[in-house]
Amino acid sequence: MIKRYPKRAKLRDGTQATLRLMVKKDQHALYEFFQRVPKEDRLFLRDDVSKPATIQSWVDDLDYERVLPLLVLVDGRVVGDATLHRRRLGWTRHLGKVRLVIDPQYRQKGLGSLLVKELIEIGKGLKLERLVVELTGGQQAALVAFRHLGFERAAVLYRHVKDRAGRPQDLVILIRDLEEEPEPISF
Amino acid sequence: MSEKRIEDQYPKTTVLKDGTKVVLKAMTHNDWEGLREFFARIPEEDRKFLKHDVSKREVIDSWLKDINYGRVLPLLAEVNGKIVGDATLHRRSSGWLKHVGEVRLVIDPAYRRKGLGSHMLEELILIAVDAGLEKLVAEIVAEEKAAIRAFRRFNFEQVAVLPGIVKDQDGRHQDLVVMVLDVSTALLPDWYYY
Repeated sequence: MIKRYPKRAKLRDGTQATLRLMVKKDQHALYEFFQRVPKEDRLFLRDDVSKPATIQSWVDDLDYERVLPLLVLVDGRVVGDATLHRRRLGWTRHLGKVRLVIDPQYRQKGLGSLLVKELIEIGKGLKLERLVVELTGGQQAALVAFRHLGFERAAVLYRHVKDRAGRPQDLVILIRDLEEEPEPISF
Repeated sequence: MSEKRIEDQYPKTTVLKDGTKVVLKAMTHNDWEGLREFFARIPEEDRKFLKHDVSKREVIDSWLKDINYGRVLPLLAEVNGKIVGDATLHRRSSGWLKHVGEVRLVIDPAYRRKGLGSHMLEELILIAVDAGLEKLVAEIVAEEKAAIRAFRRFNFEQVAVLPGIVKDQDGRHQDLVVMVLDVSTALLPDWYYY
């Protein structure tokens, strides 16, 4: 599975990008990347990425079996980070949780979809049964994008999470079956 | 409101309806053996529905490795030095779920129907309120009807059911019921609603 990377990819606007798994030496580049991402878009992250110590602990405890971070680089800079979270033991050992962060300057270029498609293939390779992603009700574009990738709404927790201003937002849980291909959406 | 230190509040002694004396305390490194023993007493049909496979040493090891009450507060109930209940409050330090705590509860079958579970849940709710949490979440396998009823008694409401989402230790898929308690209303007396 690791042999798939690094990979070259061309974004919708022709930009050349490289996809590869995160390694220890990416610490600084990753920290810089998160500095470029508005706090609003980082709220779903469990850790406070504005602290260098957080990224430090990530690289210190790098374990692809628990957290598999796939990075997209353009001209040596990290512009996208998609991670697949797993638990080796317990009742969610057959699931993978997806977390996705894209540099604001690289949105609307198909980058998010590209990364998620990679995680879907990785998930299948790892024999996971489903992928889970959590979004807020306000993230309309992301909700549509994930729908196109075969994710379906499994639940909406009303006003469960808070945005940066402290306002309650709905938490939408989407699930993508990896064992059975979902019906493609036709328009 | 500043959070009272856990260390200052526990251990605490309490008495159940039937007169049993229970000591409530926060888990420490010294509880490894006691926890192993406790989980060994939980019957197979309950253990398989737990989030983690507690029959594995490494699971308990991982809990004791980085004890951080701000993230995970495991409250233990002891009777004559034996652990008979484990109630944990899980919190996040930042992000969109910072105001939400998750609660998990496991009670020794020999000590069920004595009000111990309710007592421990009430303690966690008080800790959550003191910590400024606004919501508590409980995730329970749909088959665990008694547990769902117990949470319902504390005004937890079912907000979602995720069909077949989790896999028990036997490898069977189980529906997961997600229940939420709005802590701000938890403390209102019954008369407020009428």
